[in-house]
Amino acid sequence: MRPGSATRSRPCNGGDRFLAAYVARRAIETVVTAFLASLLVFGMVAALPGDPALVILGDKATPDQLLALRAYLGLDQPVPVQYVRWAARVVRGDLGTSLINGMPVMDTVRRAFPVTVQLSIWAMTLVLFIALPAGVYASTHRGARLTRLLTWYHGIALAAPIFWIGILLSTVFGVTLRWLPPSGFIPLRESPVFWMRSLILPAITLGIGVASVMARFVQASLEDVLTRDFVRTARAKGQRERAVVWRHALRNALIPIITVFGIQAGFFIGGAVITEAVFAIPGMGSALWRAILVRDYFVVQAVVLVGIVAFLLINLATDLTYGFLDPRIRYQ
Amino acid sequence: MQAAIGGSDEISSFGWERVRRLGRWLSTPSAGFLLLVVSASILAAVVAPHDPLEMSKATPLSAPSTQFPLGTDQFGRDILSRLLFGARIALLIGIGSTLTAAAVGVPLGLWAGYAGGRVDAVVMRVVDTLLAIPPVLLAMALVAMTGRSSVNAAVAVAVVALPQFARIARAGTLSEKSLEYVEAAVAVGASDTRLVFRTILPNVLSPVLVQIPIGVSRAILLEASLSFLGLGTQPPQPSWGLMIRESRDYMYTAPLYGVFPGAVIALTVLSLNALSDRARAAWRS
Repeated sequence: MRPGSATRSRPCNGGDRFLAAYVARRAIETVVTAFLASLLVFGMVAALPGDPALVILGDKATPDQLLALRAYLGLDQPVPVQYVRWAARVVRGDLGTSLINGMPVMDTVRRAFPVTVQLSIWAMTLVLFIALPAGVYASTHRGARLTRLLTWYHGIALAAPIFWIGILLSTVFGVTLRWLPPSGFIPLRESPVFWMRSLILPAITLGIGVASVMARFVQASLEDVLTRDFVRTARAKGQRERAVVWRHALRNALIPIITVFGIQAGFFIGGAVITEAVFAIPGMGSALWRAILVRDYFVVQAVVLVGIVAFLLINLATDLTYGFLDPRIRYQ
Repeated sequence: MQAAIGGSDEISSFGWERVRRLGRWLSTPSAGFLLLVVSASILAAVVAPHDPLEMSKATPLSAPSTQFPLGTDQFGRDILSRLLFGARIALLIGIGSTLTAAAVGVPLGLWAGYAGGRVDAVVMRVVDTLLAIPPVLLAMALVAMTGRSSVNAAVAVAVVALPQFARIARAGTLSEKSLEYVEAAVAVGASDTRLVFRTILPNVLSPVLVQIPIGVSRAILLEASLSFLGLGTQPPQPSWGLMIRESRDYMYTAPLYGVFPGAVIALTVLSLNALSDRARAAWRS
């Protein structure tokens, strides 16, 4: 991702006069996409070659088990009916039963989801603390030695595979220096201090790439805004440079930055999966990974569905945020 | 270009300027490294000091030495040779799946943009739905359905990259469609196929070409990620991501083992990103 490469379509269909209409339109779009994505997720199991029940349970399944699963999947019904029954169950919170341990998949999601959210919040905080200062510095100190160094750093941070960064951090700070646990997760309830310590390296691993993407966007966006007339006016009024940059310019540079944040959320969710696998953190990513390795299809289906819904909601939220921030968007 | 042979300054500059530009580009570190990776993948069998799959009598996890320049892995296999053969897998999947994605995505985008109306709405809805799924999740879900192998991973990577190409081709088609040269072609009675492939396609090709190095770099990263998770290339094949996965168990005894494949991935991706930045800049100017 480079500055300016965002291909996201801005909501600019004609006729909308009111914020409510804008919100409603984006909400409907989200629901339609969610519906289409749910077809794909449903299709994941329905489209398994041959008899899905046999593929899912394997050769060792007893005829009774096969019959039960066929009845559960509704394989004797037409596909649209199967989908409606599946969707009705999902909406009620029934994501099926794990084929490995017989537990409701919803229980797994309920346990794993908060862990991934905690990891993401830490990583996101880190992203903001790196991206904003780095981007602001680079845009206000063009050509400086540190700016050139930052350009190099961003290039490397974007190119290095996330799992490799994780392993390196774990080796250096966990194994060699023993400053932080090399892997594992301690729940907040057990010990807030160890909880924090167990999430530091994973949060850095997950945040490092996104931080560089964001920093480059902050830089590009701010460089653009700093040339505008209102910035000159602010300077002419005798405002201190710090106030000009952080109060006047950055606020106006925020809109493209928030959009990029929404787009990056997809990479972020994928990154979380890999990070959790590297550090053995019992979140959604680990659940998905383990489920794929043992072919626990309903868990795979559930985690992918939750990931898509999360991604759609983040995008809806970012679109609405910049709708609020910039009245021009909702009036267009 | 016949005139260029004549060698007069003004005319020859057309051909030679390109050659000079190519030369300047080839002398950059990123191009140099890519050239190295490409030659490694082609000549792996010739230049590799050892068989990448051979479990030699050498000590497992030995440190770099003259016989094994980057040391050996847990089975006593030469890490350098595995890296060289790994380049083959990385480029094959990286380039192969990106080109596949372009070969399917671009005609799809052209068709949607050219036909407009209901076709456009349906195609773009599907494309947007694919874009609404986080890439790693989509790839993992596809591999979960089709089974773990390098071919299935490559297909998954191609599916992930496809929507981007469709969007770019469609955007280009929409803006070209209304231009006069296309109207002129319509006026002289060109068929739809001719219009799409002969008139419009050449003019939307540059943004597509600019997307290719970025696509390859993402594909290499995604393939490495899948292999790292055990969902892509399977042992004993030497995939870079798989090597990092295997090195994990030995981070106490052989901390350097995992550094090499990771550095090679990072440098390859960095070089490809630099190449695409240049291509983009050249295209804009």
